[in-house]
Amino acid sequence: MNAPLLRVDGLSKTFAARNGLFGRSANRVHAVRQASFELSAGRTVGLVGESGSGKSTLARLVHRQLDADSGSVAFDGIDVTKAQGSLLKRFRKEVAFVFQDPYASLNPSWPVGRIVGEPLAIHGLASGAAREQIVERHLGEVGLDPSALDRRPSQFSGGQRQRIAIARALATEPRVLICDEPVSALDVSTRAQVLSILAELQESLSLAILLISHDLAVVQAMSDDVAVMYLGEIVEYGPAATIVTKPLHPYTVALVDASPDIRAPKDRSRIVLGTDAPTQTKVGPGCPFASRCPLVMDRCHEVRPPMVSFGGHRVACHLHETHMPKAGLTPVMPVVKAGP
Amino acid sequence: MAFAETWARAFRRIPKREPRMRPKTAIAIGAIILVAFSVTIGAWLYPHDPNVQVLEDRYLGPSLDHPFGTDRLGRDLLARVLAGGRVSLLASVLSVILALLGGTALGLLAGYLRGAIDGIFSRLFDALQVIPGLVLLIALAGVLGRDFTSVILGLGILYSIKIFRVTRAVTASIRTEVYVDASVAMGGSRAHVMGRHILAGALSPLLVQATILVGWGVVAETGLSYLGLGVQPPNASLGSILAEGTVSMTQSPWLIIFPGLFIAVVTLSLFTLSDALRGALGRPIGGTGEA
Amino acid sequence: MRSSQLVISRIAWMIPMLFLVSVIAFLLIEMVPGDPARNSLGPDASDEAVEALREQWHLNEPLPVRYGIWALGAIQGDFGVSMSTREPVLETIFHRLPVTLSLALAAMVIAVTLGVVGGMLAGARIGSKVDRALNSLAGLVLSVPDFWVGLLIIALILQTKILPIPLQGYVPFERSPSEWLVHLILPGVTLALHPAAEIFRQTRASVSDVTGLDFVRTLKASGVSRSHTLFAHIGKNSMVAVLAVLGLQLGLLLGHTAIVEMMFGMNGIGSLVAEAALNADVVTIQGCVVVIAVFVLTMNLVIDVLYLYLNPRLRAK
Repeated sequence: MNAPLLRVDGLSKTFAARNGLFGRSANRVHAVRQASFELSAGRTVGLVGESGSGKSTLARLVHRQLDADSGSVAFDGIDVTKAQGSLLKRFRKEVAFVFQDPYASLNPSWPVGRIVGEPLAIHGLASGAAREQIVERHLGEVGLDPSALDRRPSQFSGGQRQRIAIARALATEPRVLICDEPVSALDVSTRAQVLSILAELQESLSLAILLISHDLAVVQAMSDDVAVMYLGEIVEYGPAATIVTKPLHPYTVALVDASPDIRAPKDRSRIVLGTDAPTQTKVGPGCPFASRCPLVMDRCHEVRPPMVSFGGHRVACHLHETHMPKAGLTPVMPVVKAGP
Repeated sequence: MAFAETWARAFRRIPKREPRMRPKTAIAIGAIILVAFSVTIGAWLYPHDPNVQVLEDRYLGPSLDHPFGTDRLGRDLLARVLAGGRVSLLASVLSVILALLGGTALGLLAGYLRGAIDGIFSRLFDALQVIPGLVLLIALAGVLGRDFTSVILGLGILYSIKIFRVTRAVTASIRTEVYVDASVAMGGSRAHVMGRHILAGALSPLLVQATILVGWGVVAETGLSYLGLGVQPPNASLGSILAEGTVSMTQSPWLIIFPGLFIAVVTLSLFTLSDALRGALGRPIGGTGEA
Repeated sequence: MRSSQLVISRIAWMIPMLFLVSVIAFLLIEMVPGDPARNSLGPDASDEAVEALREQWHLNEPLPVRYGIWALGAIQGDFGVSMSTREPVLETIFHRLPVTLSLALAAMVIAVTLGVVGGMLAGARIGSKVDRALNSLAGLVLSVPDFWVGLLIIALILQTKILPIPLQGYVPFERSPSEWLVHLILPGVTLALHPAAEIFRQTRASVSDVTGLDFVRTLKASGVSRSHTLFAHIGKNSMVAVLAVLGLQLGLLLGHTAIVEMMFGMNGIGSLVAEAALNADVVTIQGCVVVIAVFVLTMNLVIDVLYLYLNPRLRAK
């Protein structure tokens, strides 16, 4: 096990709720609460949740595009939570970001060569012919040939544009790649293509990848570990295979059941959630999922479930609280008569 | 460098989008080139001097020898119109350059940094705009003195208001684009983003606006010198020619007609060109810069 | 936001604007090269005389103090005395105000009439010969100095002696209303040219926009007469946008009065500013700038209120 490249510990962020004209109110939206996880070289952590779960906010917090209210981010052992100036710039060189919308994240008036070369220009890594060579190499890595250099983004399809964005992200030879919904804007057939390129690149470059998506299938295909987010909290975290086959948190179960590409094993009850996630401004005591949980107990409304860990798998749910780690005992979701 | 690129792209694009340049635009460009040539090389080649007085030849009508006629001191009108036109155009172009230098920088800062800086500069330019343009010009002329540099300074200040607004608007809109976020995310400094992404995007609307402003500058300079607040005699200026010609309007209407026609040709051509540029460069920025 | 809130916030915005304009006007004197006192007394004046005048004009005090003195005086109506005529500035301004106001009024009436009528004609028949002719005319008018057209008109009248209208001067309304009116015709028309063209453009655009709207087509289809539709329905809806242009043009207009007043020998504020500039009479310039600014701000407020009133969509909130 290599030492984690990126360590996120207890990150939290609140925003002022936009109520009425003047925007000031006592209500604050807890976008992210106490998020913690680790990224290691060559491994992918997938972050999955509905819209409003805070996963994009978390990604931006990790990349320092937003400043956290509390918690810490450490890269290669160095605390970058409050980094400014040259330290922040170095951080951005080592940790790259791929945005969701490939139609908006590339400057339409710039030729592709200039787009992919921008990080090199910013960090003063190469210029002129040397820069062009590096750009060509990275374009090749994503499967685009050098003729793309002088063309404009508008001449490429969505999938190709996202590949350009990936090539751009790789220009500085980063060690970590954060991908915020990298395939959500693409049609289904292109998704597999882009994801497989990401997987290949991870392999050849030993990239640590943080993959954010609302689509569990996408996350599960590529990730080694999966973090499930609900209303700003990571409610479950574990190896991708286990999360899908043996989900512990009721919300995870619902997610799995809602995903058309993943079948629920027969020995587990299905959970289908009828309503959308609320955008709560007030998070009361207790579990954030209590209002929608079909297996909710009285305790859930009053006390926040602590994060309980079973080897590499952790979950914050009162259902599993009583299963203290015992050698070899793996907890299982209780079988309940079918939900709504 | 990037500026030359935009120019090149602009003219490359015009034929591309419409395979044929509209005749109006071609005429306009031709007229501008002709005027530019006339007031510089043409004036130099032209045998008559604008300041030489030939008192026997006063108030002559247009003829082969004097295509525009002569004025009250026997000076050749064509020569004077060319000289005055040169002053006017030079003052306009230089003042627009001045306005671009000041207004663009401030507009970028205000639009990108927002907050207090935006508040201060916007309010400042708002206040400047409350004063009617010509009044501001006259006030500045009264204060700075009556010479070429004062005119440039005055026009420059006046036009920086418009340039500021255009730049600030473009900056505010480009700033919200995702590719700007991406640039920041990869470590781009504010200077890098402002210079490479925003300024580059502002060049087109600024070019259109600058063209319009040069047109208005000619009109404004004429107005100022008509009042006696611009370049002083005996140096010719379009306004002073008009002012002198007012006295003998009925006997020698050509003294009024030709300077005005010159202005009309120049401004119409510039406005037509700006319309063509706006269409070719595809940005919906409009408005006049009338003083 | 409710309309009253909008109006109040508008008024609240005006105050810092006025303050800033006064600062700009005040700073004008700073931009004068050389010593204002020396400039006023001339190069032959003794050093003691210059120093005395400097004391009198508080020129040795620090900048914010001088601004305070000047501003306090201004609020009480004292803008100092003209550097050339030695008369109180505000008095001169008020004396000359009626001239400019009359001229501006005349010009606006002419401009709105010509612009709106022309714009409706053209807008209702977009693309027709009438429209294209009028549009080109407007474009032409906007490309030339308005005072040049004025000169041409004067030359034409002098030459052909068509109309016996006066070419110079101003007659106060009290003395003779008919004379007042007649003297305002030529300068009014000259001044009205540019605003008329802009109002024409805006009206044409508004009318053609509204004409395309469904409810107008329904009206036409059900047989309502064209002119009725035009004036009753299209009129009101188009006026909202035209009002905005009006406000803008009024401001520009005030600037152009300077030239037009000089041309036609009228003693208004415009010619006052021009004369003051020629005499380097900074004090008068400062006073004029402030008064004109107050005028413009007030006018904008009135226009905004009218706009709110006329625009039923905004008012409904």
